[in-house]
Amino acid sequence: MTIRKKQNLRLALSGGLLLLILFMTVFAPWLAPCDPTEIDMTNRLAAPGPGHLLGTDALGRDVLSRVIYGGRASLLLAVIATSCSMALGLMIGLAAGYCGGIVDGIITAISNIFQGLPGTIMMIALVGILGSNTGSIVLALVLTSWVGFSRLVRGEVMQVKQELYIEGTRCLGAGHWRIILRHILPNIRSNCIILFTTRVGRVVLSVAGLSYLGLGIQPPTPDWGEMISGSARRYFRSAPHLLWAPGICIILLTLSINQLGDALRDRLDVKQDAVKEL
Amino acid sequence: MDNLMEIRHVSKDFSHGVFRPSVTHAVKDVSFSLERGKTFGLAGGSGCGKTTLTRMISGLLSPTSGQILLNGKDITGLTGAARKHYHRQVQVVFQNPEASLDPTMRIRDSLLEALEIHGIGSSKDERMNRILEKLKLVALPDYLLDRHPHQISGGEGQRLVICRALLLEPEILLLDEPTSMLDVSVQAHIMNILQRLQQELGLTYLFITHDIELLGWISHRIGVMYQGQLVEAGPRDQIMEHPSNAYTQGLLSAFRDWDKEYT
Amino acid sequence: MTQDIQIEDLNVYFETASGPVYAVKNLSTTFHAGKISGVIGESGSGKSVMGMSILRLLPNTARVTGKCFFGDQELYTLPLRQLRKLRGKQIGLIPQNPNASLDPVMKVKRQFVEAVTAHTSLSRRNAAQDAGALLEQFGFTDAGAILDRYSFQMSGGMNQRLVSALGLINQPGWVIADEPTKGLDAPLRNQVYRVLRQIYRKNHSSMILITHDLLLARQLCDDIRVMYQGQIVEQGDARAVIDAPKHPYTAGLVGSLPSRGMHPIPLPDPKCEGHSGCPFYPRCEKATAGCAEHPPGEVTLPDGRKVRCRLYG
Repeated sequence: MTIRKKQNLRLALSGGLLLLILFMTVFAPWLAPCDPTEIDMTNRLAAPGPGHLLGTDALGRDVLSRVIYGGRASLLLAVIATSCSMALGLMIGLAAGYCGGIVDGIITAISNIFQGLPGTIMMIALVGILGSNTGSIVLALVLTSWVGFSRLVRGEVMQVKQELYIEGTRCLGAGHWRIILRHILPNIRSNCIILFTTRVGRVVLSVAGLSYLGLGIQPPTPDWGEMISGSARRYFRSAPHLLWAPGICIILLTLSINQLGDALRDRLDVKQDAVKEL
Repeated sequence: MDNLMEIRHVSKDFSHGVFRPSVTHAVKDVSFSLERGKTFGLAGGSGCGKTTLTRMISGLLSPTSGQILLNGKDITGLTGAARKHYHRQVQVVFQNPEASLDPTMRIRDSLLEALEIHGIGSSKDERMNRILEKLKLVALPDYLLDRHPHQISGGEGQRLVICRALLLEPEILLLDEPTSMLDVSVQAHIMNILQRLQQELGLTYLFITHDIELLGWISHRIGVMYQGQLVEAGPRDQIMEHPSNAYTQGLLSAFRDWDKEYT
Repeated sequence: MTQDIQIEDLNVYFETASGPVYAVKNLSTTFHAGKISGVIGESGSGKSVMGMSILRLLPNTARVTGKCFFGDQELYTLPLRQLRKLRGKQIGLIPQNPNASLDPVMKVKRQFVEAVTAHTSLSRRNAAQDAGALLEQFGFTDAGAILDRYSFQMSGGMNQRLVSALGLINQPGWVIADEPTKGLDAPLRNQVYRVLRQIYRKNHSSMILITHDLLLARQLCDDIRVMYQGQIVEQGDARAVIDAPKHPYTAGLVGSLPSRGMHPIPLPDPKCEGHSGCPFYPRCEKATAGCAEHPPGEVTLPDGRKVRCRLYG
């Protein structure tokens, strides 16, 4: 098996798994057998069986339906928050890396402050102060994670800026914007994509964590993190199925995203098929 | 003498450190001129300041003092349209061809970009025609256009960089060690192409290298740099046959001692 | 007395995304003990791959078949533990790309001391003294100061001389020098040349010089091999091969030199693609119709030179 084939297989497996989860989340209304918020107090904590394939929770809601719906809120939130922090980090990092000098000094000082703050605690505090709604969760996530992007972008830009092809393009008479948009951005693109995918995975975990603490996505909206904290925490001795399904979903999601990130890194390296003389 | 470009008393200092700055004089009071249609060869060992000088002439660095005149106009610190106009007249070919081309772009787009920057040609077809015409000048097949920089050889890369420079129809080519990373047979190709281009298009060259034999082959006048200064300059034959400076003599004898049995 | 290094039927190919790429094809040659053997060729000719295969220092995508005898030891199948004892002590290496060959976070002195104490019981202090003495031979006037520096504090030319010294520190019987003058200007190149020559004379060591520099090879080597696309196309006495080349490729290379007027070798003729004959056929000015069909065998000429060309049989 050639190296390229191995890489493609890995990409296909991790991408396929992620697509499957995304498909499940997007088409939840058509896939779920029941309404995930429908309460049936007569059928609480039912074991998995023919009526409810994964049983029911403490309020008698269908666990399978809630699992199918449960990725929606946190994935959407993760993608939005990561996109925002990437956009912010990209702009700040570009400014720092491209301008250098005093601009870079100021930005680096600010980044250091943000990096010094304990992320999870900041997030909990912010959501606690601002109230638990989508806006404040996104804000908290962006504030705690833009530094990661701006650092990466700054470093990459400083490296790419010194490359001969950038100087060559300057010597063709190109202006700064052309160099940034046509040459620097495409050359740092692959590393940004990789960081984006791995960050989405981490943010899904953060949101699940927040939900577990009761600060994330609020009931009755179904969410994996909330499902684990809501009824699974109280009843998992008597009804362990409540824990398994959302737990496995979170693991599979973050696993597939991280694997995809790694596979992309290998695959996006354009120079790998060039054979150099030794 | 018809001097296209004049370098007048150019110096460049670099300072290091914040609290106790120390200053390196990379280039010290260098003056020479480029005659239209001729080659000025600049020789010097590693660290002699020739790279800093090239970067100043190519507009990537500003000199600490001195002037660089193109057609009598000082070009230091140009911005905007004036800078663009200067780059159209003076093009640079760097040492490492593969690194001179953006790895994410196809060759076609790298070449088209040069024309786009200067708004040459009204349609893509017109631009492509111009590219195909210049590709013939450097003897390259057009199937290379669809490749990425890592899929071509060093010799092809350097000819593409020369081709890209020619697209703008410049008057001066700055050749910064254009063949030092290439094999001898490829070097011979590039040098012959450069010589032919000069004859056909009347180009003016500033050829910078540590290989003084190469300069002897292509230059009309030669200057020798040592520790930031131009220690000797003159017509080719004078420098190659009767060098007066000790460093130049050393540079030449490094080849001559080896070649004694050839000549 | 050291022994010959004898390569038989060497093939090296690399696994790449688009299938195997051959770097060396059916190559056999003998490097004689006590001599400086040159291997010249352009980038991609397989010369470095061939040289590095002797010490088995190839990337792990490389596949090697064939045999390499060093005395009665077969190097390609020797257990790694024994091979490591050989490296540096009996066969030293002066690697290409000096900046990447020195550890950037280790002072030069420690790298020299480590190279010595890996093979001998010499004290660290004596090892450092040896290193200082060797560096002075390599043209460093302040060897003590140099040893206290890191590789990034020095120029490419200095690093090149440092790795050359590092390869010779254990006075190995054999030295493989892979492009020791690459990227050096003429005065520095001459300096490395003089040091290699001096070391060779003083230690009576044997050397394999891999280089693209024809004049260096002519000056330094006893015999040379010219490689083209993974094969040796011409082999013989160094001066004879460069001054009166027999193979059209060697002649083309020599003619490309600035001192010989820089006459380029023709580019491959696109019409000649897909032939099964001589690899040089598409660029050869002396090619005949037969060259496209049958790969030429090796012919030994009366003066002992070996040429792989149909012009001679």
